[in-house]
Amino acid sequence: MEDKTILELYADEKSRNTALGYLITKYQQRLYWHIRKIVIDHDDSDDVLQNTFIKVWKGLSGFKAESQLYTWLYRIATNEALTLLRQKEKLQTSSIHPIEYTLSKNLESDTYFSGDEIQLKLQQAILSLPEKQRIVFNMRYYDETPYEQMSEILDTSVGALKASYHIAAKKIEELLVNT
Amino acid sequence: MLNETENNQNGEKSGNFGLPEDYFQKSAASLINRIEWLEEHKDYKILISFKDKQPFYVPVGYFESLDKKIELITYPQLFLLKKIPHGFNAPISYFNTAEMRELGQVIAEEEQFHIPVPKKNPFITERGYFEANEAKLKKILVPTKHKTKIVRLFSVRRLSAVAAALMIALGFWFYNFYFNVADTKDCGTMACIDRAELLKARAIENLETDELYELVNSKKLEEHLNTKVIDKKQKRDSANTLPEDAVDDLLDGI
Repeated sequence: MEDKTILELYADEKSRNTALGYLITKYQQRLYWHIRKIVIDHDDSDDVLQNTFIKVWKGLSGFKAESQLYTWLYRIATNEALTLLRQKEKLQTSSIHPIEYTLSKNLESDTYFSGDEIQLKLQQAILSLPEKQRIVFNMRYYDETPYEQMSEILDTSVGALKASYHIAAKKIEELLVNT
Repeated sequence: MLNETENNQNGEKSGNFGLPEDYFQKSAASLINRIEWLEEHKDYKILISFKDKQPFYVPVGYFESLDKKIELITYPQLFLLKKIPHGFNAPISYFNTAEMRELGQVIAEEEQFHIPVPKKNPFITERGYFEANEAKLKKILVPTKHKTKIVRLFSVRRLSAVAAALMIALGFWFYNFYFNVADTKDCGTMACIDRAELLKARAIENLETDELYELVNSKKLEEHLNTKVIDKKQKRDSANTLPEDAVDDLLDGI
């Protein structure tokens, strides 16, 4: 289903719920994996995904097709995921480490992580990156998102994104080689 | 060379395979992106080797059930409330009572006639056996404990009552001690006046005899004089008789 069709269905009050169904079917998995790579934990990802769709549903009437629906959805999902991480960081009063350290530790005992030791090291290496760099890396490395699209989602220039990605890739490659 | 028109199956001719709008443009962009990606990663061999290995999993059926979870989105308040567990409670043993077990047993027995279920356990017991046995065993194994009544000595109520009583008592004491007004009631007679005060005042010296008589309460004076007389008499009598203790002492001495 094309985004244009979904928006047309949404514009008509009678078919609004149908539009929601198509929207969820089309984007839920992509958004979920994008969120999951940021927040790591499945339950947190589930919460963020639902919050994302609530915000999308509320804001869809105000969506002007200046950007693609896809980039708009991703932007909301990214912001919601980062908001959750900041909330979690505030809640962990006993730790002086950033939230990524906690996520890295939790990964070892995560029920929904089935990677071997090397995969674990890769994920921990990714978690060691600064927040935005980590998102850029995940989007480019795993999703192969074009830089132009990433630029719309993250509101950063293509040149800055390319530079950020190459620094991240180099750092992770070195970490993996050394372990 | 192939005819361009014949190979253009996008929308112009009906009955052929349709394609999404802008398919070829999107497809081209996607291919270019893929090539760029491979070119970008040619020096990161380890990263490329990890590319298609996904370490994250989701619970079975998660995406299928997500639709149902999100269906209430059109009713945001209801959606948020759904996350909170419902407020209804049942007693802890509600679903495990003897009645429920019996009912389950009855249903199982009824179902036996319709759907024969091979019994793995051939042994049976009489109905209600385990409940009766449980009660019996409890009596033997678990001694009844007398519940001792615990009386809190230092409960808030008790302490408050004691404090209030103390305050009232202190209040009375303060009142009596500091605000006790001297009895200014004048008895009108010399019998009430302290002898020392009289002497201090030296007022009597200036009084006439008639005035003195008016001051004296004759009744009290009579009583006073009578008691003096009795005392004098008692002294005289006692002088002639010994107390019993003294007599005993004398006898012991013999």
